[in-house]
Amino acid sequence: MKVFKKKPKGIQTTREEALKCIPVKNIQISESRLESGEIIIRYPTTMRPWIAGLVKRLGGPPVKTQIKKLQLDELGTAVWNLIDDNRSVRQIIQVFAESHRLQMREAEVAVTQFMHELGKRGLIGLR
Amino acid sequence: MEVKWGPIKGKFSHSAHLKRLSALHRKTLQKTVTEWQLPFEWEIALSDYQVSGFTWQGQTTIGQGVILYCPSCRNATLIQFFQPKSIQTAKIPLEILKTFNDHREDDQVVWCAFDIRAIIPENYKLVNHRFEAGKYELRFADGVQKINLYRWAPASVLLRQRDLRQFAETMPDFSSCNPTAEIIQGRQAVKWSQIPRFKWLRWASRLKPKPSYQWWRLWHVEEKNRILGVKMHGKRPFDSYLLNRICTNYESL
Repeated sequence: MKVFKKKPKGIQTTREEALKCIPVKNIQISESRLESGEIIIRYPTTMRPWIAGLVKRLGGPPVKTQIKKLQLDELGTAVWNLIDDNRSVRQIIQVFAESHRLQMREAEVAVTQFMHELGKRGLIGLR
Repeated sequence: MEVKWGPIKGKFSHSAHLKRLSALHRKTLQKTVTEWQLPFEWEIALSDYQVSGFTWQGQTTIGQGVILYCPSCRNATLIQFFQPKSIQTAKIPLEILKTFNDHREDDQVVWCAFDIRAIIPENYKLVNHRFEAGKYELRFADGVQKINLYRWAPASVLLRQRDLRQFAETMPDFSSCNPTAEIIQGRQAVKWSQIPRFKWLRWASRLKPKPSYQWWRLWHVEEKNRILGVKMHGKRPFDSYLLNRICTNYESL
């Protein structure tokens, strides 16, 4: 028996493949727009078991999910608005770079970091 | 084409560098690098340097290059041209080599990274750099004083609900200074400085671990959608001519 067994590697995606992917918004989220034009995203998350247990012990309702909010800044809102289930990551980067007169490389880093963060929270997926 | 360069300490040996290059090519690319007699036109174009040539042959590509050493600035440069065996032209490499220059005559160094370009005195060495999305920073130091160059983008977003002065207030060193908004060279600018008021404070500042002299200028390059900034700090007073020259030559491409 191997005690220190190596974990199998996840799916390895190259940069080119990742840029070709099309980001898709999670259908379970809801979004609202502030007066400033910025967007607030509300998304459900599973409550941690120990918090759910604590709520139950304190006599609260047996809730397993909670709604979290995420407010995007102006640049985040701009990228969020570009996610339309048709544009690929590369196309979003191009539009973002042109609209803000940024260099492609800089826009790529900013947009991909932001999408990575959205992906970690389960707000978008890549198709 | 490939260009590599670096400063040389001590004596420079062309044959030693050619041997190293040859060993590297044999190990990684299974190619043999041989010494090559440069064409006469190349020798004329590179007459200011100590030059040696080399060549190698791949299955479909031919490589030709030069190792240059400049005795005045003590920089060594390797320039390599890759050409398909079927199409060989000596004209383009020659044109490039004619324009090659590894140092300026005025003791200044041109720094160009992504979309920023600055001319900094030779005695200021690059000590740190950060290229983050939206913010670039280059730090130079000469042992006594330090120069930091900044670039923020996109300016239209950063200055949406505030002016340049309010943006400047977000800087960590800002709080104790009183900035003035000005138009410098036709651009909106903010500048502020911190200088010890009294003579004894100026003297004591040399003993302090932190620099007591600070000078900042930020300006908005509207057509490029950028904010550029220069910070100079140190324990001794600054040369205002130098500050103005750095700011004038610092630009967004």
